[in-house]
Amino acid sequence: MARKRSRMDIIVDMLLSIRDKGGEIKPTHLMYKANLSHTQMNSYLEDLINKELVGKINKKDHEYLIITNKGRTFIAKISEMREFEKTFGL
Amino acid sequence: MIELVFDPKWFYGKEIIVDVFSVITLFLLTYFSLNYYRLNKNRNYFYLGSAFLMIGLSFLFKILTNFTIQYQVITETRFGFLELIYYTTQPTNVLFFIGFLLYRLLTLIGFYTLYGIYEKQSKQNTFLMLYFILISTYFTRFTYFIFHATSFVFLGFITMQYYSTYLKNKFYRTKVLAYSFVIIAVSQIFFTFATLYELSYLIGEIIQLIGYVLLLATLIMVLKYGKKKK
Repeated sequence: MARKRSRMDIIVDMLLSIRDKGGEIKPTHLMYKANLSHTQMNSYLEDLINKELVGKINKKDHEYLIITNKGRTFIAKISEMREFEKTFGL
Repeated sequence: MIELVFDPKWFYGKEIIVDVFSVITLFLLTYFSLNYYRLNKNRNYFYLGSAFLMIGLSFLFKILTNFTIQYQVITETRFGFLELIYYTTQPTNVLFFIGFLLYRLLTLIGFYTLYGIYEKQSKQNTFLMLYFILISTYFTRFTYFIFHATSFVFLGFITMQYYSTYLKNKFYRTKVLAYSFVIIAVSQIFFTFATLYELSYLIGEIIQLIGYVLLLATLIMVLKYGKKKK
């Protein structure tokens, strides 16, 4: 059985989903890609926007979510951290 | 008559270079561990960072101890008509004593903290171990091979933990990490015999340097692989 995702796992999944879609994604697509409910996604998204890891833009009357440079740096740091964790067996 | 001189040991400068390199490696590991702790609040990162910080600080105390000013004492002794004048060199006892005590204490507590990450210890066990480390450090201050023998035991157990981690994850980086600790452990064997053979100390320092180079290499590999993987 797969383990329950931590808050950090969910945040990283959301950021990776946006990044892998070329840096911008529609909110509904993010919800499916990150495997979240609408309420969950809004709660996490608010946090990510407040921390400036994710931004919002409007394109052809549609709202898109974009990953910021800070968000990309955050992914890089988390990736390093996970490697560190696995290497040291933490 | 007391004259202040600096002690010129034949391996003096080089020894400090080895220790400074170890301090840099340990402080870099501390920096990354504590940074990652801030990110995900996993206590193991905090303990790992604290362990490396303590070992790094212990090396700083060792370096400071090496800088201890020594007194050259000229003693005059009379045997009837014969007068003997001889020179003895004595370290400034207080600085030397405190520096060396802190070096040994922080090293052993650091190794124990590192070991405790993988073999969880109860609070009672931790207090008991800290007590034993404290008294063994204090009462073996004149028989310093016991300190290196104890370090060897701790490092041996830490190496076993990293080796078992390697058997689970099969990461080359973890293998290098285990090698680095086994090499640092081997250096302790040479330090143990340093009072008997002068060359033993030099070999110990070189082996220890190789161990810390591998530890730094592990960190570099982790950071490089982490960047590649994102």
